[in-house]
Amino acid sequence: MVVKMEVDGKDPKAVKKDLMWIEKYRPTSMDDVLSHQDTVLTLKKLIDGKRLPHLLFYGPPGTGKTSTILACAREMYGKTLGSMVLELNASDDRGINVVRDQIKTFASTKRIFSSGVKLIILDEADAMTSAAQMALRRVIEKYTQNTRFCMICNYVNKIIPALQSRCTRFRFGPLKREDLIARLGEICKIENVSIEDEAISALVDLSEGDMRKCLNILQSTDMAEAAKNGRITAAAVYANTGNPTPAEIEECLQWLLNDDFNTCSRKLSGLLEKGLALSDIIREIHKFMMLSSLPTKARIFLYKELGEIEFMLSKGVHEKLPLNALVGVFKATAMLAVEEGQGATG
Amino acid sequence: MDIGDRASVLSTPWVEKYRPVKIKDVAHQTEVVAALEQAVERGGGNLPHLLFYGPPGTGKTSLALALVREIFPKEILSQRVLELNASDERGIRVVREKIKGFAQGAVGQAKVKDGKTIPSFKVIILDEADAVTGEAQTALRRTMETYSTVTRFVLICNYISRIIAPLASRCAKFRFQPLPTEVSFNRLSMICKSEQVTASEDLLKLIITRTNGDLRKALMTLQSASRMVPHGSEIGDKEIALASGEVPQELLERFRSAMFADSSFENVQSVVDDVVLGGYPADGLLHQLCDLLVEEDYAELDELQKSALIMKMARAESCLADGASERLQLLDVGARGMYISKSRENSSSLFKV
Ligand SMILES: Nc1ncnc2c1ncn2[C@@H]1O[C@H](COP(=O)(O)OP(=O)(O)OP(=O)(O)O)[C@@H](O)[C@H]1O
Ligand SMILES: Nc1ncnc2c1ncn2[C@@H]1O[C@H](COP(=O)(O)OP(=O)(O)OP(=O)(O)O)[C@@H](O)[C@H]1O
Ligand SMILES: [Mg+2]
Ligand SMILES: [Mg+2]
Repeated sequence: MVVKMEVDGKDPKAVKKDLMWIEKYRPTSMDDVLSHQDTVLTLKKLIDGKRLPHLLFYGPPGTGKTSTILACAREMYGKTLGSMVLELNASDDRGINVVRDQIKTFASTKRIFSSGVKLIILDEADAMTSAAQMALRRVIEKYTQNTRFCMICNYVNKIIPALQSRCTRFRFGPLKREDLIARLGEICKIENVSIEDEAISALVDLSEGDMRKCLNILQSTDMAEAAKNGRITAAAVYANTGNPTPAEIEECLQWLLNDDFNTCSRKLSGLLEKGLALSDIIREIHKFMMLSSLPTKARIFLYKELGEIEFMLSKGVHEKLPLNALVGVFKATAMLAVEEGQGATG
Repeated sequence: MDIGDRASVLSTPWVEKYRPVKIKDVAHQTEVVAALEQAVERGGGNLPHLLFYGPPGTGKTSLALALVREIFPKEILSQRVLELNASDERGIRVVREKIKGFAQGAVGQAKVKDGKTIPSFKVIILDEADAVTGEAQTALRRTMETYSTVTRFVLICNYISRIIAPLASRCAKFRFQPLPTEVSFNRLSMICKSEQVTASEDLLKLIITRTNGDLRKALMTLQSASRMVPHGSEIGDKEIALASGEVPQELLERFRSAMFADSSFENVQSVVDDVVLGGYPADGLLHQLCDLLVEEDYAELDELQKSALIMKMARAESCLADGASERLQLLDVGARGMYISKSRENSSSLFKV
């Protein structure tokens, strides 16, 4: 698949020069949407058959929900898009009455030039109060003749069941690794970014399937590295995001498992002074420890305590005590593991 | 100089007076400084939304202000920049009324003035964004996208975990690093010189350790300490201890021996009273105690005892952050410390699964 973002006939650079990358590389047609081929195929069939139901798109950030519905709208309406689509989001006042009035006005206006159903996009639907959602049930039914609703949200459990049941649900999961890699490669070519393969794979690791996050990290790393005129390396990507590299985490674990308390405390403090965040270190350590072969009790203890330290940090306390508590947790875990081992053999 | 004049000179906080002016004046944050300088050089056009996060006093607000001052000439600064911070209201109404209204407005084409390109967007600086309510953050999601051609956001916060994921995803994130001692030291010596304050090297280093790498706190400590001595004479440890509000060594020592040596709950109680009534911060006491425990040759507790006590202290600090009573938390730590120091042989009982 090629990236074709340009408005027909015009030089894409001229039109889109002043856009940040996340907007510049927003898919414009349904075929440009990555990783959700099944959803796109289904939607296309429904549109072609003029059988479009009410829709509910949900999933984590940066996976293409907004882009997909906008591309759908473009496909359905072409030039008449402006008069056929109403978008409401949480920054609009969505008290029940406002919603009802706006929707009513929009849905009941006569269609002079075009035929077919109108589309109302309720982005950020998870931010609507449940009272407003209740009221929406009736509104949806009332205008179902000539209007389709598409609700979009990150947190599907914040949508009341009665609304969910009126819609066909599509989940937008994290994007696939190989899709991200391919698209990033194309974008780097267009933007003249020289980047190593390992750096792309670091980007993808850090993004957790969020394409927008990928693009933001890529653009900010490019901005920081442009002055140096070198190739972007994986180390530069990690440094730019302030994330610990896998090597640094392995080193941390060596200290935590082998050094005495005070030495370990000093070494970890040094790492934080270099600019790493303790909460990032703990998150990564957690991933590593999942692969270890700790006995059950010690493992339960470790996860419970790691969770607790992470929670403390989220309250914004200084890192000093949580850091030393982390050292303590590893000392205690090691002791529990030994004790458990003796219990088993003895 | 009359009295009114002198008063106003004295009261200018050094934190404001010595705020870095240019992007490149912001020390140590190399990645983000390089990125922004580059963006300004290119005319700012494709600047993404930015999210600055990191510990207090590391230059986040300063850098955001320097950025807008470098992209916009002075005359149009107020039309192009909206700055909101914790003193403004943080609820959903601000998003609907202030932010959206400002974000919508068009600003015309990019122009070139005095050889510099003035980009065709406005900037909204949302300082202390971690205090913005969840509801208001949610409402920003689409606003940030819809008006992205005419408005760029700079979000600033200490705790990135308090920014909802969909907002964080919309920004290029930059973590601000704690300032290393020598960077803070250079800044402090420079200011001492220009303010004609006398302070030894060791003293400046002491300020820096006491303030845990927060340069704002260090500056404020230095300034208030400098007011405690007559103009021109040297600042000493005593002034720093007073100005930084640290717990006196003597109290710390008493707390320690009440727990480990005397093992007396009355003694613990009386120190805690003195700390609380003296107005010393409880989390400060915990931090100083922690420093003591991890000192090179500290041998009063073994490794597991130390682990158990520090885990307890961390938990107490976290409760304090939630608004728990200082007295009860310190008593809890004290009592636990007594118990721990007695159970050297039986340390597995200290850790429950
Ligand atoms: N499936 C995808 N294919 C191609 N690009 C994508 C995809 N998903 C996201 N992107 C990129 O990320 C940007 C944001 O995507 P979009 O606005 O559709 O996300 P979203 O799912 O609506 O996220 P949110 O829940 O945060 O609103 C797009 O501009 C595009 O650059
Ligand atoms: N990196 C830095 N370079 C130079 N001066 C700095 C730096 N960081 C902080 N300072 C000094 O500390 C003062 C406070 O900085 P600033 O207001 O930018 O901190 P901040 O990161 O926004 O902190 P907070 O998170 O508490 O708002 C400034 O006036 C400046 O003198
Ligand atoms: Mg969206
Ligand atoms: Mg600030």
